[in-house]
Amino acid sequence: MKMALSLTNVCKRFGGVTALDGVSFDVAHGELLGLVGPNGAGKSVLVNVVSGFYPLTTGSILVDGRDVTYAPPHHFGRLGIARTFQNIRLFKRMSVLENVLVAFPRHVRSPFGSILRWNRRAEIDHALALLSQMRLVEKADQSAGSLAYGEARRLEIARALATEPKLLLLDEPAAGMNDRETDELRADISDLRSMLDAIVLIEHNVEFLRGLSDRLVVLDYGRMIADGVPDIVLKIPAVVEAYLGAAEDA
Amino acid sequence: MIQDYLFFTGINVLLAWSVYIILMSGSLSFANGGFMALGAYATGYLTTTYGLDLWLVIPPVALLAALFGALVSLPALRTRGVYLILVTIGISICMGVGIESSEALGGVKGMGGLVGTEPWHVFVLVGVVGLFLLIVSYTPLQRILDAVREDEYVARSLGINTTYVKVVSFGAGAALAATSGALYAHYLIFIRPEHFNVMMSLFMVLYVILGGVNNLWGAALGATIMTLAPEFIRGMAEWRPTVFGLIIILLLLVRPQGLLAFRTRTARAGTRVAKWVQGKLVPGGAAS
Amino acid sequence: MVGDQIINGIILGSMYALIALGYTLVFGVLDKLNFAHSEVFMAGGYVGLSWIALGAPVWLAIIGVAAVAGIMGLAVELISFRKFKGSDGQITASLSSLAVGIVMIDLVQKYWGSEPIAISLPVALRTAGFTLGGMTLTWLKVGILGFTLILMIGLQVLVQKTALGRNIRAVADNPASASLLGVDVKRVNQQTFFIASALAGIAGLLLTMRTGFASSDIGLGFGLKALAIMGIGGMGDLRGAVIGGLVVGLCEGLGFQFGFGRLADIMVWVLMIFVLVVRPAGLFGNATARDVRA
Repeated sequence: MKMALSLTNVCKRFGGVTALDGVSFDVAHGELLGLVGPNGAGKSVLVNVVSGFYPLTTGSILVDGRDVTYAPPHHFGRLGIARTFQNIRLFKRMSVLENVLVAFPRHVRSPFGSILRWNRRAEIDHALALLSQMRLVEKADQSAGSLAYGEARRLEIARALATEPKLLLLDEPAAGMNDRETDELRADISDLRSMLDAIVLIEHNVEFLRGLSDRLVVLDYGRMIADGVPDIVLKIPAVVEAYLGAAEDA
Repeated sequence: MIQDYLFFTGINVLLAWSVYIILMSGSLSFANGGFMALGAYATGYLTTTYGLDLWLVIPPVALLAALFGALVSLPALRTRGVYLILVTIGISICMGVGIESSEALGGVKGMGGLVGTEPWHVFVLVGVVGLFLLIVSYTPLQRILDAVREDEYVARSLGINTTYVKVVSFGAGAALAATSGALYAHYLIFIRPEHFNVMMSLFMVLYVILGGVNNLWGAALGATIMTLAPEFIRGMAEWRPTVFGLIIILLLLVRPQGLLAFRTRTARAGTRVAKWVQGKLVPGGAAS
Repeated sequence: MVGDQIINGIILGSMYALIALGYTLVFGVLDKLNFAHSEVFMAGGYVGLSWIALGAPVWLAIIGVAAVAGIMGLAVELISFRKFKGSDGQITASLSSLAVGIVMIDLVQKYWGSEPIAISLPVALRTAGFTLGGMTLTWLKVGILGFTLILMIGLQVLVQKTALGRNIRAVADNPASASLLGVDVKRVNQQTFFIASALAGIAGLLLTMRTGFASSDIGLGFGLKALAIMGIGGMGDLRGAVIGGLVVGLCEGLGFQFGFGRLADIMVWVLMIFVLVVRPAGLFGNATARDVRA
């Protein structure tokens, strides 16, 4: 069976530093995978690898059965991988609405053809639908730079959804949110599952993932130390030691 | 005389737009003086040596300049920021010295006998290019260019082929600079390499900086002010570089975005938001 | 003949190196390009010529030029660099210094005229000399070479051995942490500008003495080439600036000798484009991960 995403023996070195060391896991269709690990475990490097920004040192990446190991970064977006950023990166000078409109695949694929082929009303309605899904529709004409922190995070997700992705990579979406915002976000992500083929959720905070994710992959120092159902994984001694110990310090 | 002023204003507006078109995708080009020289000399050579019609040679030369611009931008775009400034200055200087060394193009002595441009030709081109840029500013292309300019990394993650976008905009800017050069040369009758030296490239960029980098009006305004003001303010013509330089220095200190800082929204939801909210009383569902 | 061209090339190169050192010092410390630098170099020739016209001996003129050029550097720092910090200010600062350069060219042309002006030096200084192994060496050439060598060694000692140099290196490495360690970053920036500009001014005077003329277009012609040399040697790399300057000077000297004419002038730009595209850290620098982020 083809997997939504399949990593085989992925290694990434920067000079002498090994950031990822033989990471292999699959994400099945319909799955919500949680990727956890202490700070510096290589989670963000992994996101950058899977979204095509860091070329691999060795190993391979398959998306829906297609080998994309050597594809240029923009191909990853076109193949249906969308991502958000740990340090929110919106187009701040554009409006909220424009941040969503810019990501529509039809125009992304042929930027210059878009002068002729576009439908203002239909596109705005589609964008408003996505914004309303992320509870931002009233803010549509505001500048993206003026959004509050939690709203900005949600707009990043809306923008990612606009690319019509199959696989969504969320890089620490709950970072910096208060409890109420975190709960709302958890509900939002839950709602997204029906729209997407698979979700990979990178999180520092295990509690956020408990009950939300189907499966957990645990990284520590660039190595994969566990892969399985959350309740079981979180009882493995190595995970408790490497991850939970570090989390308590933080 | 007034015709001359208007003609040079038109040319400078076109040159400022040629810089602006490249800047739209996030690259600051100091090579446009070189592209302008390419257009001027290539068309000049064809019209004087082979007696070809100016309007016949401009399209292929503009295309050639576009290809040349795209070609030089490929390596240039591997560099960014100040490195790109250095590389494009280098291209401008190489073009200048290349022309000076070429006997066929008249070398340092220059090239003469260039006729055929009427001022209204330039006004028509200003109108056409301006209208095109105005239309673009309301299309998805404008958003994509803005995205590439604001955060190339994110733009790529959305699936935008940023290299392609930048190379095409470089080519388009080069073609416009070359076309302006051709019209300019065939109005001046006689051209010399120093008409297209590094200073020319620097001035084009500074027109855009003066007027504002975020919209097409800024570039046009900057070029117009700097061409016309010296002619109409007594004593300023003589001190043009100093006055221009001081204005730029002051402007960067108090208003780094240029005179016109606004960016036009490519699309607005406007009343559709209210309709949307009314249609579905509780948007999103998750908030309830 | 070839020997003479080698000597001429080395002299040329040592002046490129002096200017490139200033570019690279400022770039190393502030991470910004100072486009006014080549015009400070240009103005140095006129200022020195004026000192000598007033009857100052050459050594005093050199000190005078260094002081005036240094003060110009402080002014450039204040106008074009003080306010524009961080990577956002990188382009703004370079555009602002470009505008300062344009103003300087215009003012020099208004005051001294746009035609080159001859410097009044004793004829003996320009012609007296000796021959060595087929090369004709004038005392002027020997003096220029010796003096630039002293300046380069002096700069090296200053940067490597003194407290000032330690501060400069600290700020170049990381302004934020240098500031935490108690280094007055603003002061170090000013000192860097003063030193860089003084070197450029001296180079302007030396070139004027060498050619016999001060000219208002050497900033864009000669001075910008030093900018390209910085690109070749590595932005912020002092050793690269010196080696790059000498290599380019030698190649140009020999290029003219073998009839490449004006084409020798663009060699440095072609080489720079090649280096920046293929090896952005410079020919002699270590490739760093600085620009790796996609």
